Amino acid sequence: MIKKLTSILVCALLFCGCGTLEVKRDRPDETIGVVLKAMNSQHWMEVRSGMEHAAVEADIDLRLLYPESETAEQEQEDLIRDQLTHGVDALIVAPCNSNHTKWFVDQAQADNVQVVTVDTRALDCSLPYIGADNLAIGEMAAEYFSEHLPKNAEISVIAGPEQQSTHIDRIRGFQDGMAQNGQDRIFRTIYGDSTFRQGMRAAEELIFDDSKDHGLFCTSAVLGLGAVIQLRDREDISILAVDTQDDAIQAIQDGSIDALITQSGYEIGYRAIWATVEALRGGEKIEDILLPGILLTEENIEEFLETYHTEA
Amino acid sequence: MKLGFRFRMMLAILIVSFACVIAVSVTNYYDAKRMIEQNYVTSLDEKMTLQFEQFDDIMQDMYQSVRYISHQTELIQQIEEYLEGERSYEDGMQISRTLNMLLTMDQLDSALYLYLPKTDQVFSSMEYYAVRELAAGDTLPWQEGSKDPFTPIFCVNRLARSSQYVYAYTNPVCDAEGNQIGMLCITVDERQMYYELLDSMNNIASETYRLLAPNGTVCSAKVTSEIGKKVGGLSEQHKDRMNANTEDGTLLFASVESAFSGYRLMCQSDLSVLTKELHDRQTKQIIYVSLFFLCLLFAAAKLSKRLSQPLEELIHAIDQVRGGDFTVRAQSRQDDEFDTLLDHFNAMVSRMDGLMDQIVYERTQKKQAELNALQYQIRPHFMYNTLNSIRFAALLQHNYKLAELLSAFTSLLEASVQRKGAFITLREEIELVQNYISLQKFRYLDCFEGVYQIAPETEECYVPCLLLQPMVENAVFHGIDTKKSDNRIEIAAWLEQDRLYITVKDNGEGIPKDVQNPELAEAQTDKRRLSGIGLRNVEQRLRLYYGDAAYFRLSSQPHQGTTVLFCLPISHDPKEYQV
Repeated sequence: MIKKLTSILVCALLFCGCGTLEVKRDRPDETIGVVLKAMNSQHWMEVRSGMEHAAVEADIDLRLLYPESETAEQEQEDLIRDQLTHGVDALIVAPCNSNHTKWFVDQAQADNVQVVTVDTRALDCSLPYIGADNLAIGEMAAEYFSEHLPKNAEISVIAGPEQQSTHIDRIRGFQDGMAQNGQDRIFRTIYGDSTFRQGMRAAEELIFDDSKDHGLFCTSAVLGLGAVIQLRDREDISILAVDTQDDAIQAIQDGSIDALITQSGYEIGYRAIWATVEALRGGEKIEDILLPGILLTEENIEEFLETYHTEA
Repeated sequence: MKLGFRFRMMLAILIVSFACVIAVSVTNYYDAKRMIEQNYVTSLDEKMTLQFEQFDDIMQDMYQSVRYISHQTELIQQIEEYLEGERSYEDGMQISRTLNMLLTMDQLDSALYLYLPKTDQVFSSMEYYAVRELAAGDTLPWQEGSKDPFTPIFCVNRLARSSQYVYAYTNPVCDAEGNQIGMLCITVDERQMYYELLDSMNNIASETYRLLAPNGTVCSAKVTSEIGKKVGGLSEQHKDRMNANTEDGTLLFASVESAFSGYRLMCQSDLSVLTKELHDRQTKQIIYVSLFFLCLLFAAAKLSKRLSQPLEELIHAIDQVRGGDFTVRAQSRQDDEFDTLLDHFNAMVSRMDGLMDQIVYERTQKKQAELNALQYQIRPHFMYNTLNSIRFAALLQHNYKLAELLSAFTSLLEASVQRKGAFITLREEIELVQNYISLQKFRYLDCFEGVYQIAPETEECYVPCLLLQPMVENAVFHGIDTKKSDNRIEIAAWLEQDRLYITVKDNGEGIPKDVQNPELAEAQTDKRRLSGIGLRNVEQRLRLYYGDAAYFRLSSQPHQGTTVLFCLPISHDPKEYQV
């Protein structure tokens, strides 16, 4: 009996010692390549943040690249080309030139890669678009000026690159809105890079008649902030910008900017990733997602901030 | 050494318990070891992933920088002018200064290089050898670019002050028409990268970190001689985002893959350090359990000896009983099951003792009876022949009374000698009694009378031979007053409620007390008796044959006579109650 018990004990000990440790964490099944227009503003950082959070939730590989500025079209082309060369399951692009997307769309389709545009639509191709409803933003801006400025006020526009649909759509929406409100003429539109310095430059270039009221529609917040600096001594100019970023919000609070139309960069990025992931996994077609903006003034800015910071 | 049952049982329990404890302990040890290792791998994964993200960030910075710089108009213009112009040293230095200006990365000894295939020249962002012409046939490891745009080239940079390993990203520089006019390369120093990322991790003695290229060769390690070589242990199976496996049970190889560059950060860890304390604790546990087991073994031996003492006493008593000593009794000192067992044993031995005594007595009686029978076998034939001769002589002499008496005597003698112990019918027993009374009447000159009241249904009932004769004999000895003539001996038999009742009654002086007591009567051997069978014998025979089913009662009053009553079960089979 002792022999039997000893044998059982030895066997048990031997079995207990068996088995080597082997652990692994798989690579995500999907890789999504993203090429944005720039990373030089808080808006793009929010877009990137939303994308990265969505990527973690969806457990995908996210390769996010961006050129030095929104006008670095050639650089962006290199980045898009590299994404397709390395291989991706889907490609999300905020094109620097909305009229020059066909070249990579064709290549992506040949590789069976789904392409989605974010923040900026493609104008030479029919691609799903996820971003702000820029036409509605333009209309919202027109409505604001119509309500707050006399009919004979001079309205000017400082816009980003004219080859980008973001700015094109906002201006179009603005024009349509102005026309609807009986204001059929925009005094001047200046296009350029969507940078702070460009905003200053453009504001300097504009001549504002002292005898009239003026409205200045800036299609991005950085342009508006640049214009604010340049026009800080002119209290007769009502400035409205687009984007949600801390410095622009502060400008609302201190009255530098009269109105701000929000677009949540975080939500744009987040929704873009999830829509693409769902399409990859479910095989469904991606539909456009137009995210509405909110008009912020000093009246409702505090209320907005309570939810804005909570959600961020 | 013979081990008692209780000790063997305790030993078995102890061994099983010991085995269970050891098995549980060992299982717990390996469970804990596995849990520690897995937790360690999880923690290692997180640490390495976090650290490796810095490497990825640097690589992405390099990648994006070289692409940005390669599209800078100023640089492109300078290159075009240089190629179209005199290509003076100063012009070349201008390009170098532009490269230096455009290089925004200032950490990790980063540098920019521009290769112009048209002139086979290399321009550097550094002051050292800012413009260099390549020797004929000389090639740069990065001048053709790389197949995978995101994976850095790992190579030896001979363009720096000293040959050094570098990570490099390249991008073509193209003119306005899209024609490639040069190849731009950005590098960071491997050693600087090692000190930035890996050195602090390699401070842990049991862990060794290395950076590996996608093909498995070492790109960065504490020991520079390892660079360029493949590390043993990192098998082909490390293909996932994170892999960890052990070799020889003590060495852990864990690697994390970079999502951007495809490089791997590998950690080689000595698990024995991790689990040493657990192993020591396990060893101590086993030692303690073993010592405890030995102590318990000793205690079990002592306890079992004490507990088995009643059993040993019982065994000793059994041995003595087996040897024939029925006087031995086992002593119990505990009020438990053994106490009951010993009591029952003692009772059994007592009964055995009694039965042995009874057997001895019966055997003695039997032997005596056999001896007597043997003795009587010798005489009866002689006596029968002699008596018959005398009877015939009496007949010849016409002394019929004498012949009758002799016949009666012969019958009586035959019954008492040869038929002792047998069962006869009541009729035969009455005949014996009648023969006896005839003889005694002759002897006592007819001073008494025998009266028989025998129910007919009782005559064929079987009774022990010489059951009534001793009672009649007592009646003759103690119930007859020879001075009187109305002495009477009445014998009756009847059936009542399935029982046979027989009485022998006389009207004499009564039997003395000492004779009434069967034990005392047995002690007195009355030579006047016919068979030597007394009251004690009758009582014993009744008990022997019938047990409690039969009895007899003797009542005798002075001057009033004696009555003996027999109560027997009715039997028509002579062998029914025979022993």
